[in-house]
Amino acid sequence: MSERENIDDVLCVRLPGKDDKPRLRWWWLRQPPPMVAFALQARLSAALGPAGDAAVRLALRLLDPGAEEDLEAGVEAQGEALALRAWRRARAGKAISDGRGGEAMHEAGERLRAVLAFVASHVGAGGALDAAGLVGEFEREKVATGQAGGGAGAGGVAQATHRWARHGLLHVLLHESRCRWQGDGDAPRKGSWAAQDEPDSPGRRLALAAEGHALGAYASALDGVLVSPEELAILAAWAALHLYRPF
Amino acid sequence: MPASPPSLPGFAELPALARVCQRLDLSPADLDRRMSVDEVLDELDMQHYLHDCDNEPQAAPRPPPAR
Repeated sequence: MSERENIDDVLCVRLPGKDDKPRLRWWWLRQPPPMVAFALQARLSAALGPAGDAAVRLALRLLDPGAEEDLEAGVEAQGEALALRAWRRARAGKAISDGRGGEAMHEAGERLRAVLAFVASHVGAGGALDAAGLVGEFEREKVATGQAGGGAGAGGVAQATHRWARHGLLHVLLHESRCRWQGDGDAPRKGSWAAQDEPDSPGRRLALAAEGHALGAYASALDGVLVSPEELAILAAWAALHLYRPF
Repeated sequence: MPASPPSLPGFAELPALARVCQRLDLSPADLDRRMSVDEVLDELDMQHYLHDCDNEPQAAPRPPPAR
């Protein structure tokens, strides 16, 4: 049996920018190996609770073409149909995006948003979403008073800084997927942030942490690059779909 | 405490992976290095099929007779 080929993907996240011009942010990830992928599937399913069940049921409907057509025909199920197309693309082994930007990338982003909306819509009042398990918990950083340069601002009030007290499953998912930023603009950045002659930057720190073993370093580096919670949610949905993506 | 083997999370969440390794005579590390998620899913399907061949699924119980 030969070595498995790595399964990589590129995504462009379109976020609102200045003057109605969208901001294009490029990301890269790699499907984790099977042992990690199956473990993450189970942990995500447990953390999502009923919403995870709904998402899995959505995926299972792909096995029944009749049910799939019925689902798409439903006028009120447009969001679900969009999410279903994302699952179908994943199961067909197609990239979530085509990696070239433009309208297809925009659609890919919308598909991922649809998956998020679908999952969120199934987290009802009685849902058992483990939010802390998913996104982690933060706490105020302990700042020692009286230290040299020691965190006390004007008037002796300590600067409020926070750190992750507990990392979330989404951090683990993105770390295991080696998710890293590929820059802003019309195209992904050429060359690796991790090259030795690259100066220190948030992108470089994230690229190095993505290849490293320290989840804490990765989560901190990710915080230095992300520009909105929505971007994190889209990345997490993208990485989660890759856990189920067959090739 | 030493770090747990990288394969442990997969076995803990999906014990059937151990049978995949056993049937294919692969170590967990070999499975990660050589097989994709899809190939593992195919192998799990094969195991279910072989199990059904060896243990014919029971027919559904008959409904009680109408009174």
